Amino acid sequence: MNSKFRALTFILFMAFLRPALSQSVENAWVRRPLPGMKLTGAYMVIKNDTNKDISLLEIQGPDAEYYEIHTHENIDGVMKMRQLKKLKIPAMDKVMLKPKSFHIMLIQIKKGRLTKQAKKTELTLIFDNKVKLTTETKLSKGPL
Amino acid sequence: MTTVLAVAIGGAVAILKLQWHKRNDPTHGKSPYSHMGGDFKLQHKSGTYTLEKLKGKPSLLYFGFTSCPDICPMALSSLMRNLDRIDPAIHKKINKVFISVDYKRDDNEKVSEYVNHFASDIIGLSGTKKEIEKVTKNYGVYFSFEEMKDSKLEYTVDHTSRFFLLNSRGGLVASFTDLKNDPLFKEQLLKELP
Ligand SMILES: [Cu+2]
Repeated sequence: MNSKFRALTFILFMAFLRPALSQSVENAWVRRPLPGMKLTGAYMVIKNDTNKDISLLEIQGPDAEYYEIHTHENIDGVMKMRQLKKLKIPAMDKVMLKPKSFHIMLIQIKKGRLTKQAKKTELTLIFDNKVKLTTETKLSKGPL
Repeated sequence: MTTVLAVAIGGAVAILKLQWHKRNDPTHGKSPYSHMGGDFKLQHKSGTYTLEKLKGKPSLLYFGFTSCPDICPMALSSLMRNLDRIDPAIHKKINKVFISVDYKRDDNEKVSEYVNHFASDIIGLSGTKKEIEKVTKNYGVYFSFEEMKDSKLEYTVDHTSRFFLLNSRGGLVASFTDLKNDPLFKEQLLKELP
């Protein structure tokens, strides 16, 4: 085997070993709704380790009739909640969904869902690059 | 629309005045809040509620709405937590009041039920359009119903997120946005206690 061929094989081998570029969801949690409340928020970190910008387009889950992407803006002490059509996660970057900021809004929570007994649930995030991620989601009172 | 605008302008003017006072009159003369606040007429599940009923103890007022997803719940739990931190026995010495500006969806029973999830001694008040417009204007609180065209929520309520401290005579003496990190919160509150 000549040395050129060996070098090429080595490069190909390394390329194969390199972890796949990907996107992921971490630390997902849903605020346990107050009894009788029909809406709540879901929060998480969305990581984009690919070299292309991606956008979150849609969320699905078993607990509510509707899932929407929202943001909160604090303008001179006035809190304004607004709906977003999509949430962009730039290449090699991450976006934090957290209280008082970006969040997923669960609207018309279904009967018997997200009750005091529930410990966890799940969310499925659908992106514009056709990737679909399902993440286990804790229920919590939120950071105090 | 014009009333919302009037409230908005009223609120902006109040805040500007406040800042002007802070800058020009830090120690002398009347409190920058002396021209704000004042009497109100609102609804409690037990009946009409006025400022008169709060007198005798200092009060903390917060304006919000019950279908508020995280700002209002966080404000109320922050209020409870930060009072506990000062002194768990302080709750008996003050009034905690939550006023819903969402006169379209919240009535006194709904507000009472809502605040009860945080503590049984929070006073939950609602009001008619007129009553809410008046009290928010007097306290320099901005609120506005905003249509959410593509959302199943249909509308949301933009609102000032701020705590107002009244002395035991019902006079507005201070306001705070961040109870945890504003050292004046504890200081001013303790000053109003006997
Ligand atoms: Cu929202």
